[in-house]
Amino acid sequence: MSGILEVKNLSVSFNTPDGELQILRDVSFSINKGEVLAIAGESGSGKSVLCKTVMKLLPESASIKSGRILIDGVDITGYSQKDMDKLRRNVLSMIFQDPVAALNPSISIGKQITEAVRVRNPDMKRDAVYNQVIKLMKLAGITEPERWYKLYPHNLSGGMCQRSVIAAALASNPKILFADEPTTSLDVITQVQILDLLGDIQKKFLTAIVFVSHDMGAVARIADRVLVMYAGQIVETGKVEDIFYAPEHPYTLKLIQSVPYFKYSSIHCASGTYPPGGGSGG
Amino acid sequence: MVYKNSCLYYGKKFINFILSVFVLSAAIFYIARLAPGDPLLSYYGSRVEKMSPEEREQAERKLGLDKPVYIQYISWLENAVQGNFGISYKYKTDVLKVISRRLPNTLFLGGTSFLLVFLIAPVIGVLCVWHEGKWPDRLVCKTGTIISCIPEFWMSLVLILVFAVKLKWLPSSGAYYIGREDDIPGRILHLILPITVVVTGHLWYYAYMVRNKLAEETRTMYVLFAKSKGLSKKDIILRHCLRNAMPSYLSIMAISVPHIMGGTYIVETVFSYPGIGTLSYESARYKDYNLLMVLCILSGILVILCNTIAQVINEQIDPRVKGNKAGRAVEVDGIG
Ligand SMILES: Nc1ncnc2c1ncn2[C@@H]1O[C@H](COP(=O)(O)OP(=O)(O)OP(=O)(O)O)[C@@H](O)[C@H]1O
Ligand SMILES: [Mg+2]
Repeated sequence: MSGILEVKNLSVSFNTPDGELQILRDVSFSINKGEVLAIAGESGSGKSVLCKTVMKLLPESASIKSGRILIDGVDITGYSQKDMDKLRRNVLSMIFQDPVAALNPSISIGKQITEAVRVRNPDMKRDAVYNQVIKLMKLAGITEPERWYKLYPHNLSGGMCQRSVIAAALASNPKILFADEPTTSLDVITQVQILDLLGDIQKKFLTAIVFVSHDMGAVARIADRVLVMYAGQIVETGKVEDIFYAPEHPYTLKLIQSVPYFKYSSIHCASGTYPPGGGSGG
Repeated sequence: MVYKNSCLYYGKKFINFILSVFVLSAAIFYIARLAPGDPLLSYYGSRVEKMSPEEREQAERKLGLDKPVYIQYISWLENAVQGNFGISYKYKTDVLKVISRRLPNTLFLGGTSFLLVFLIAPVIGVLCVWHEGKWPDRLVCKTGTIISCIPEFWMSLVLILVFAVKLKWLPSSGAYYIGREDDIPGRILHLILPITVVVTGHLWYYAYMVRNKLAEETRTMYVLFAKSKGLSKKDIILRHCLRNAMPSYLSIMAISVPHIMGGTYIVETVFSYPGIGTLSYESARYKDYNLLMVLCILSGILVILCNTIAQVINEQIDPRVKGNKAGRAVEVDGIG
């Protein structure tokens, strides 16, 4: 069975004043319907660029050098922004690392979700749009959505902003949701709530989620498969369990060790030694 | 609570405004008298040259020019507060009457020019950002830079030469055809060249400002998210970016009112257009103190008022700034 999203031998470069900079090198992967694929890797390894390449959100200085992107078997590599608008309205959505910055500061969150609903259903009646927005806000875990509807991003906490962003992202009823470090800027408790929310969405709508993170704890909590990137290349890919218990690439091991839970309980506890003081992993 | 606060806010702004005008009037009064020239000349014309010293003294006493400057100022202020700004030495009538005869001309020239700049600048800005980095953007930026380097008086002269002298399409000076003051189409014909000069002189600066502000907005994160929702380029630029660029545009345009009015002053003198600009020029030249005072104060009030409005716009309209004062409370009881 072919995946809902297939990326084949994708290479992406940026034109910079210092010449051409290759950011993605020969990246290939696929994701199936309803699957959560985590992309892990250190800062600057090209995770965001990969998501934005598929969404076609890169600046004009970036270009696809080679490779193909297939969605539901259709090659979208050469799609124009107009073509992409249609896809973004119906198939693809994305949520971002900094939800406060992702929302327009001078438009109320209700309106910003409304835009997403309206652009997908231009002929929908006003009341129906409003009801749909309220429904989406509830789906995103906003209780009493009518109260929050009129508020502006600066009135809200980071978690609430991320829920609003998710509500707007769900408006397109996406088959694929790119979540680019959606929890990084949030506090720990909110992080878990948002992760669980994404998990619920995936189960409820069978949305394929591309979950970008360098937090292996979060990856373990939500993902089915993991894809580890390093310097623009995929260095390892496999099921979550396989990667965690038998990492092949040394960089993967480092990533896993950076999660305190695994370092102490899975790896070191097995051999019976606690690191003295326990502060070094912090 | 909020009501009381905004009363305080506007009250403070008002007191600031009055103080600024007061200081301004004192400064102008002093500076005008420091400048060289003979105020009697404007009242008595060439007769001054034939006056004996006694006659001069008498004439100065009649106009109140014999006393020290601060006494002159105090008596001017006393009268001014009662709405009496004295008579124009040159026109021998109430200063306010002289001004009110000319003011509509300037308001019309300046107002139309301002309105055109105000409306066209965003259009050009949006056009540039729409094609950012491509030839329409570059063309507009380059021609704009060149045109705004041309001095207004020079451009006026070239336009007069081409459209009035050579082609004879448009009148070269004045506000109406002589003897036909009520001829509206005639008046409009007289306005075309002056307005063209004022608008082309100022437009680019503001269009460029809109362009840069908009371009900055298009690089923000919220644009990326709006795009990912599937919004079209038009919606993103017009509904998202333009909206966020508006508060700063409005406050800049408030400051631009005196800037553009200043431009009309110069243009008026080149086109001998009977407005406040030519009047100011004459009154300064002929030391028509009373007239000069009121004209300077009027211009000053315009500057101070517009700056105050710009400040208020900056502080009150932008929900980001406003929110920092009002928003927090919502979050606290929102969580509970
Ligand atoms: N507009 C751009 N122009 C030039 N280079 C860019 C641009 N955007 C990103 N890059 C480069 O691409 C590389 C990958 O960036 P990317 O944002 O994808 O990293 P990331 O894996 O998402 O990192 P992080 O975890 O910090 O988000 C970086 O080296 C970055 O410098
Ligand atoms: Mg990133």
